[in-house]
Amino acid sequence: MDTGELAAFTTSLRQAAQRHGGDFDKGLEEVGWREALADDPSAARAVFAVQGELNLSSSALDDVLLHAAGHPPSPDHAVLISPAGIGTRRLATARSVLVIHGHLAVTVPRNSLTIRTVRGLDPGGGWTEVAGVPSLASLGHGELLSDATLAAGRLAIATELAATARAMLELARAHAVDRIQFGKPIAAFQAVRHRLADSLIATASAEAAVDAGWEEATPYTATMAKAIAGHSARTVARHAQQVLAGMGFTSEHPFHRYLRRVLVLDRLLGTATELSTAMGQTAIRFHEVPATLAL
Amino acid sequence: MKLAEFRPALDAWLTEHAGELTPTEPGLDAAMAHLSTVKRLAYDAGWMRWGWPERVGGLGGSPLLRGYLGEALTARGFVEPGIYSLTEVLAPTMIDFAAPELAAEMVPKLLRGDETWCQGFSEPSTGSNLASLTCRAVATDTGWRVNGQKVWTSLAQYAQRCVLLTRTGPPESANSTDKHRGITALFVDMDSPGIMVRPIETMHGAPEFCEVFFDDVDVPVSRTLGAEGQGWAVAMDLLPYERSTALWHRGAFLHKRLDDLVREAPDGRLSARDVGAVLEQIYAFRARSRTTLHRLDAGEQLGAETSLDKALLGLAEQSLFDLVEATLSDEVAFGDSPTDAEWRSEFLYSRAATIYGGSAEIQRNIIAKRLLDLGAEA
Repeated sequence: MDTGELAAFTTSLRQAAQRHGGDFDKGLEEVGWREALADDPSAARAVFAVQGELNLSSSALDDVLLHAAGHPPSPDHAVLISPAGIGTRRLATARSVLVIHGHLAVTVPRNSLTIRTVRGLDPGGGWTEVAGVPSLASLGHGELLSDATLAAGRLAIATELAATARAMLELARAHAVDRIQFGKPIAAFQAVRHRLADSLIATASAEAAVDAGWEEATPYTATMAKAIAGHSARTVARHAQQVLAGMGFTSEHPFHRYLRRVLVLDRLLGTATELSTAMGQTAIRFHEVPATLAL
Repeated sequence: MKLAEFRPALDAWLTEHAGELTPTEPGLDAAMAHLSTVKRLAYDAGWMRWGWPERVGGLGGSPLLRGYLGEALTARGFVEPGIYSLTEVLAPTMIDFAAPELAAEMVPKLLRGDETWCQGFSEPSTGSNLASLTCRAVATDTGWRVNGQKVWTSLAQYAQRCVLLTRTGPPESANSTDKHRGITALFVDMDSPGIMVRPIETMHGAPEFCEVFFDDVDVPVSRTLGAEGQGWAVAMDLLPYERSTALWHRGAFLHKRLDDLVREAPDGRLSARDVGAVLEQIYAFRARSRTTLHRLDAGEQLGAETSLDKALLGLAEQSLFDLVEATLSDEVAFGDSPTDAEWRSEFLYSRAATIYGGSAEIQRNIIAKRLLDLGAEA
């Protein structure tokens, strides 16, 4: 999609989200998300950016991974990410499940798995767990996933994390400008200003890494995007929470829902620290830093 | 010329001429002489002219070509990006503000390596508060007479010219609320009578910064950059260049030095988590800088948002050299081989990455006010 098409698709996604409240799967259905994905994988860029911005949850990640693995995305086909054994809410209703374990995957009937709806840290996220994920060997014929499959998933999650960081910063900024203490907005105090500035620095680097991932989609740029977006989102969450102070600690304020989502998204397909450590390990082993990010 | 053609052609040329382009001697004098050689060779072969307008001796084309040239020279260790960067910083200012004939005469000398230029901005009493500068220029029949002092002027001892900020408004305007208005930029010959340059010894061991003293220095009116009182606009025009192509080159340098570290560090000394964290930090900075260069290429006006790039450089550079010091601690502390001395010098220099060119705190003030629109500070 070019910039204009992406902007138009984003607008229709926001409108669909508004019509359907928190259940973004319905909204996605309405805008023809799976057809858009089949047509052009960069449709995911808009979907995950809107999810992050508006703190929505959906099963779009299943579709991205299925599409990248060469399976037709369908509401009847869910994805289970091992070893965490976690998936989206689609796991509860699909007929078959693609179980991903590292670079191996196998498709099994859903009713062969024991499903539990997760409350946990992010009860609104629709996360679903499979109790006792079976070993791949016991599941029979598997398939080898290319690096590109995991990369597609990581880039999608990175896109959402970067948008979530931007949204948390905006919540904190709005509060800092409105909240009066000592006779002036707290945004007038340098300690607050510098926390918000550091949040923007982190957000901008996440957005740049995500942009680079979409422009030059390789396993390395996707992994970097997820690592940077994951760390950045945590940085922004820390500063934003401190600026929001008591207000942000209440359940009425939306901040906590973004924080919960960040912490869970970071767990999927490798945490920021796991991914960057693995890249460090590779650099040490091969005595070389990958040449990437051409102008 | 498109970047896609420029890149392989330049790469081939650099490989072919690697012998002449590789520096052989240590020290700043040798590095400056070698920089002139590299620029001369690259200019004569055309590479150094791409990305600059034809009216100043360039061959036209995108600034991305300049971005790649500096990156390629840095990545191969042919130039040190700190001393190379003044070209990227000062040539655009001349192109934007000098009289066309002056720019046409002078810019090719800078690009070809015939000359070194310096940037006379900071003063002893104006560090972060640049606009309160007091180096005075008074109008004469033929131009300006300059009196005052500059400090932290990079490479002034090698420079033939200086882009100098002076106060031409009344002296008290330096402390007023419209201190930005009484500033005028001049292009000064460094061999003018009355200029004295004194290099500053610094903790990292290379005397690349200087104090510059001006004692009744006459500057012709034709050497005014922009109009009288427009000096702040000149400074603001220059800073985004300092934070675009020049930072991209610095990113190439950090990438190369991390690569050198993982090649050179003895087995077992590096932690995967630490290397990964630095790799990530450098990548984040470069990704941001890349975005900025593409905006420059699209003809966008760069401004305060380049403070984000500068802030990310500070984080990346210090995280890299913290890792260097932690990994090669004996070498940095006790080693006296040229390699050890280089790591040590770069580690010490990295401490300044959050100070020079607008401190980390000033960048955050700018980000808060201009990019986040947080209103006035208490």
